[in-house]
Amino acid sequence: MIRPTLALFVRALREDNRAKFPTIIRTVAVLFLLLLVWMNESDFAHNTAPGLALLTMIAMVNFFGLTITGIGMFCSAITEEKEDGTLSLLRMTRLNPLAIVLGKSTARLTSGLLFIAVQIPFTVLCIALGGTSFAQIFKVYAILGAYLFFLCNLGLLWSVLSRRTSRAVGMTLLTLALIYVLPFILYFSTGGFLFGMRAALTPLQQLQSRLVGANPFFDLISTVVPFWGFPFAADSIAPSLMGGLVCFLIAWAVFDRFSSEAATTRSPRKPGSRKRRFPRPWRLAIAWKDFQFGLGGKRGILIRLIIYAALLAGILGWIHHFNHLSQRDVGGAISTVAVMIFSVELGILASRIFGTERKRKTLGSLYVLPSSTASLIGQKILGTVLTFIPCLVLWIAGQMILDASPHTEHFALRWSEVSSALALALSRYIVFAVLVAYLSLRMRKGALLIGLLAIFLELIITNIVLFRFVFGRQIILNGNDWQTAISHLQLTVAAILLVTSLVLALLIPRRLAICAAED
Amino acid sequence: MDHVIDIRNLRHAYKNHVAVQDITFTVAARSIHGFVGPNGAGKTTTLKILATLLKPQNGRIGIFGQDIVGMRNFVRRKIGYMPDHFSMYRQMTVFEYLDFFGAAYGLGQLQRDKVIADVLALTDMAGRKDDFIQGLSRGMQQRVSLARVLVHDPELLLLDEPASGLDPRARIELMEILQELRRLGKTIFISSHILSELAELCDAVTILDRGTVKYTGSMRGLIASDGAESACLLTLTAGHPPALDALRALPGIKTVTPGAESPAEIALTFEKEHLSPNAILTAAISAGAQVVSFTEDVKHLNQAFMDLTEPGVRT
Ligand SMILES: Nc1ncnc2c1ncn2[C@@H]1O[C@H](COP(=O)(O)OP(=O)(O)O)[C@@H](O)[C@H]1O
Ligand SMILES: [Mg+2]
Repeated sequence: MIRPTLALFVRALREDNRAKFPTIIRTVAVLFLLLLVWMNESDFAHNTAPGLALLTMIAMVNFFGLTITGIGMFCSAITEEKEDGTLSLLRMTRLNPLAIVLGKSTARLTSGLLFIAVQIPFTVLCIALGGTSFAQIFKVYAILGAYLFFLCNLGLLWSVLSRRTSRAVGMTLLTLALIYVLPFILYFSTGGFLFGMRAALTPLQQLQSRLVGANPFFDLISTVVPFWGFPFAADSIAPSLMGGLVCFLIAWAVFDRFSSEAATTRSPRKPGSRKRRFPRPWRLAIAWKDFQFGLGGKRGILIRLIIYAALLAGILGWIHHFNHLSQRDVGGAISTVAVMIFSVELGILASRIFGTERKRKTLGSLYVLPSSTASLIGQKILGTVLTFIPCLVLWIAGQMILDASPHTEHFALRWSEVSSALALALSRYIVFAVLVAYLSLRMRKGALLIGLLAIFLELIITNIVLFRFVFGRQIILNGNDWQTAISHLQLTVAAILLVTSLVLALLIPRRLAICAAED
Repeated sequence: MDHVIDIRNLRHAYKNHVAVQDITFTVAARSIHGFVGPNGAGKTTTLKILATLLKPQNGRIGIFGQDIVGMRNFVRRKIGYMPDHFSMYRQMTVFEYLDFFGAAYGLGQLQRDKVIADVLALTDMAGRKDDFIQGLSRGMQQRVSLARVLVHDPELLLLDEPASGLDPRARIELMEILQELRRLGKTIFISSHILSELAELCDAVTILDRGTVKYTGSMRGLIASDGAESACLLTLTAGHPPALDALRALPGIKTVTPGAESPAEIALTFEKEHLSPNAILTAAISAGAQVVSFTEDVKHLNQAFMDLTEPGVRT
């Protein structure tokens, strides 16, 4: 059993070595660390513990970076074989389930751990800067490593259970939200701080505080800033390892059931037929198609609207039960959730707008229609934009509740102060959407992942620049000038992002023509 | 107009690999023109250029007398291009799929209703119009593809290996549909990597190998051009030695080979100048044999194809 597993492992590692992407990521990571160290010298000079500040930043960047890349990497472990139809071929070799599950996941995990390991020598520099110890650095990386182990096996489990990578990614994100984010929200919003003082906790509250305690993010924070003093003893390493092991064992146990030919190929809908469920095509037929078949047309809009509203009402009602929520809280929460849902939908739809046509090899037949490429792209955008109606409705509802709430003027921000931040946020969405759409025409998979990473990197760099600016000039400038300087900076970054989007957008028609001809 | 497609000195290279080099030929109106060549010959590349998916790098191409680059949208309205793979929205029903493409070509709703009914009847898919494309068999999907290509009533059909992967029955039915389309006045340019498959269907044929034209002209001409020798397959009800002797005795006969497995099938080669098929049949019948069939030897057609193309794997 060892030999075949090893073969699979070695094959995956070789592929990993040949692929440019992981190497690029690793190089970028190291360069990025060096950039941080360099910035640190000039900017954190007045900080009492510059090494610790640097370590904090490294820990946070790693945590989110690993989450994004990890999910993309681990969730495709088994589904990629299913999508290529090669899983049944693998099953016919001498490989047993354990060998396959182990072989497919270990290579990715190794690659991820390698990514962490290459940083350590550079991070040790933090000790020289002062304010931190080797033990602290070691613990940060131990937490990250254990978290990666959990992420790997969780992704693997969903990869075994799901038919497609996209499904596995969605389910993994949902699981992470359920065990990390939701307990945290409930914990704090329902007065979880007081749990410790109460004599008896309900089982649900116990579970909540356990889950919050096992959250690697909080563990990281309480490691790098112990003086913040979280009200619970965070220890995520053991739970992460245990959770990972459990996921792995389940993945192994159910592998056979979910890897059979019948489980991996979509059963054709039989006796598949439908009598006119959709309205007839519009004059803008391509827009009609993308609207109806993207996320289900009018019906899809209605269904999503109901689901989003019901979920929001449920969660807000639950919180309200423990902790009185003001009208302003409710309005703000609805708007915020609307923006979050929009972000997710935007990412998915941007990767699909051309990506699906390309994968299904249908671009060619659209491209030979007697209309211009501009009309093709325009119609696709129109059909997709209509899909955002539920988010828009939700957002407007939230804003209306906010506006109607008392004390609004008290919290109202001056337009001049928020407009530049808003411009920056909007241009970030635009560049993200255009980048993902463009990448989906350049690569078979991973467009969304790379788009996310790019935006993540941009966010960090922009914020470091802002940070550096604030720390560098703050002493000379007084309050008002400082605000203007920040908003100028934000507008500059927004302009850069918009120019980038424009360049990418102009590249799309050419790529489209190439992809259409390659079908 | 006699030439629907007029290709002159077309050349196309991918990076530094030349897929099509300097090909020239024409396709006559209202004909079925076969485009035959082994895998990698450059058929798909040529068809993609004709379908305006690829820009010609060199040479001139006219479709209905119009330049393919300058009059792109005119050309796109006139052609129906069927790629060599299924290009379908599998979550749609057959009707929705055709309705979508009709609308995309700018047809109004009433017009679409009529056209879709027509093409469904022609491809014999009327009974399956509310079925999801996903659940259809390969042969059915191929018919839906063909129906889609016909929705905007194009005058020229560009079909890239439509018969590959179909079972014999679906293949024959497809050929029947194509013949019906020719009767309706359409010009059909159809590619295949099997010459014999198109032998009965096509009026004319162009044979392509490694990007160069090896033969272009009528199907008859191809068979006739093959030297002074002709080949036939004579099938009797049973093996019949006296008939064999009678055939061997004919003047101008070259070989008489009964099949090793089934002696009733006799392969014959003969010199056209000295012997007519008529004389062969007469000889067999007067020797007392019961003739089941008498056809041109398809294996022979394959031989012609092999002689025109070069051996070796195409890159
Ligand atoms: N997108 C492409 N990039 C590079 N080479 C290609 C591409 N498409 C086809 N080729 C090459 O061009 C040659 C002709 O291909 P093609 O036109 O598909 O042949 P056919 O359809 O006759 O089998 C082949 O050698 C093939 O490898
Ligand atoms: Mg081909």
